[in-house]
Amino acid sequence: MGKIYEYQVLRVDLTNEEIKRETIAGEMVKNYLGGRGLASKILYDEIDPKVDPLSPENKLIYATGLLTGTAASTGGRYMVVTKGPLTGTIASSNSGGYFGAELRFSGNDIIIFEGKASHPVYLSIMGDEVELKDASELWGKTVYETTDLLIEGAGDKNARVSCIGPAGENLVKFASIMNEKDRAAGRTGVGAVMGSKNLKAVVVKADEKQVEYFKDEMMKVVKKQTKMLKEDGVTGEGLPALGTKVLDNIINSHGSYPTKNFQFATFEDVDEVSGEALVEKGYLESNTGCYGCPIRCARKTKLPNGRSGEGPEYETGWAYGADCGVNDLNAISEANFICNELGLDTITAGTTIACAMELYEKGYIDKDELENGPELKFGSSESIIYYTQKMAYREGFGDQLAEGSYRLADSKGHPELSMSVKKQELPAYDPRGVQGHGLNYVTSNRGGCHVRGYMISPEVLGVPEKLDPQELKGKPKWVMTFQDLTAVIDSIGMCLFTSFALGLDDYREIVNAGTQFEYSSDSLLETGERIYNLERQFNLEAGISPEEDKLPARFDEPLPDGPQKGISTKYREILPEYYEVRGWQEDGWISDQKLKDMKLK
Amino acid sequence: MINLASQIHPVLCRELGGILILGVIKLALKVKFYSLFRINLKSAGTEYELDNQITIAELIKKLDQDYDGYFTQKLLEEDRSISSGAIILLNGKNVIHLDKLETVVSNQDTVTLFPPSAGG
Repeated sequence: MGKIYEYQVLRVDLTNEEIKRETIAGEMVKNYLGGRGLASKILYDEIDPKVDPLSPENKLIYATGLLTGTAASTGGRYMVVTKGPLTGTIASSNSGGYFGAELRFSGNDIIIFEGKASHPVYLSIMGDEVELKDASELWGKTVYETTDLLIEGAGDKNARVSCIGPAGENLVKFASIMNEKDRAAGRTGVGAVMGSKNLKAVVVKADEKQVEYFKDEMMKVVKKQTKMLKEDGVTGEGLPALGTKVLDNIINSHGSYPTKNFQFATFEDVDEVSGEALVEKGYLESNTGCYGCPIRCARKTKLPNGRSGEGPEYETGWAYGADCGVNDLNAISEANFICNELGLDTITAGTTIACAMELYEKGYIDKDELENGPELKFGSSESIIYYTQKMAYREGFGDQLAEGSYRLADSKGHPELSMSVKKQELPAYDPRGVQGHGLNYVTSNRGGCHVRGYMISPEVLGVPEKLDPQELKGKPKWVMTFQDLTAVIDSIGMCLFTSFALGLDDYREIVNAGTQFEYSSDSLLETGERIYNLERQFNLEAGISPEEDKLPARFDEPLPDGPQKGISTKYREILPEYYEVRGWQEDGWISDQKLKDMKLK
Repeated sequence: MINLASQIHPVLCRELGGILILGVIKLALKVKFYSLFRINLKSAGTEYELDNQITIAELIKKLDQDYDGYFTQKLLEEDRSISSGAIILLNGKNVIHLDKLETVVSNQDTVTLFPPSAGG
């Protein structure tokens, strides 16, 4: 039996096909918790931050969180950490479902993949038997096919599979890693790193639940927190009923709903594509959830053409919808299904097509380049489906799309038309409408991202309290606190959505109950700060300078429409204060003293 | 006979093919329901033709009359402050940053109502 604070590590040398076992315990765990934190520390210690992300010198780390596989509400998440091919920053992407918990049950808490296999392989963990197996027959198969074949091969329908699709094999820079078919470690291109190592999948089935923790102490807290989650208006009512797509109308009404590659901030056809529409049109079949989750926000949908799958989430629905000017919920859902089957990050896939549409309409992409594909015009539902397929297989113009919007726009001489930060595409909130969220975008350690410090929560949704989205005072400290708390949640293996109902003290309570550690709320949050500093230091050493802490020039122009018309981004006014509250140098670098204070040196 | 009271006034007087077409546009306060409000009430919203300006608090009372006390229950705390996470927008601006429940609304305004909601 494995204690949750003594991590059992599988070190898998793909080049030599050797597997070793190690243990990580003690101060490392207290300082980095697990999941995102501990895996980032391993990566920082073991690779040169300057390595080519798609070379054998990069490592790919699967890591469960401190409470993954325990009774903690939503405690089923795992994190994939590596150096990312889209941004060149540290990449970490987490996923729910059941794979993470099963991995923990098997007694393997962390897997470090090193080198590159000479031929396609997958890692099989069947009880105590851990081995690399030939995956030649699986190479080229979709996520769905791979998952079905591996479960069939395992001879146990309860085996869990995490794998890449053709997009990862083809080194699409925003390929995802998928588990249970539809759950995604989506962002930052972790799937391409997996593909570069000739690693197709990990399949796991535990014989018994090898997870040891202070169960009685923890159950009392779990009971309380489950009640809090069920009674909360967001986690107990809104998310189960409408999922994340409840946001379409909220963000559109606020005038922060990016439309046509962020040229506008409201979408006139939002009622056709919103979460409410998904229900009213009858596409929504049921909601579903991950391991240990009382929220159950996932959507099971069935389209009029008979196709069914999971999604679309808010981000996906927006990327393929408003951002591409598409008002056809059927086509948007179809594009989502294709992303899941082929293993693509839906945000970057959709927004890269949106960027290509603007480039095409402005005459920067020739019609000839499309090789008889549909014209890349805003509103074209045919395009979003066609080019999603093409990018996963790098066929025709899809080969250019597979590089993401920044490299695409840059190759056409117009990098300013890529709506990205550090080459990763921005998600579904125009930063001009939410100033703190804009600051979070520029300081996110994995490039354009909303789930590193979700300032939408206080600035728009009023959780935990309502802040004026245009007020600048105090925002740097808010952003820092959100970023550090998120790093904690990502490291203990719980879902970020719990933070709509739970606060720092609640996370401290559950961590201490399960481990009998003695964190104070401050010391737990400091752990998050340490993780954030570590990721930043990795990026600085990788050559991503503080000059990259910036938004595309479009956001310096005033919003052309909606309730916040006339407003532009003001992040530059508060970035110096952000560096100051973080204890970083004025130029955005981290001093040796700060690194020592954070126990990073 | 056209009512020239403040809330209704003629704006479309166009000659089409020699025939005078007289149209009216009603001026009214639009209230939009989203999320669970829309699903549970099976309604996308309502309109009120107001004789005078009213406050958001008074609007909620009006809605309560039409929807059986639903909105007080969903939008307000027991001390009659706005519930944490409930969103009341006046023309896209959250009334929390205006005059809260005392924010004044009138015909031609749009009030948008959301129960506590979040995602990401």
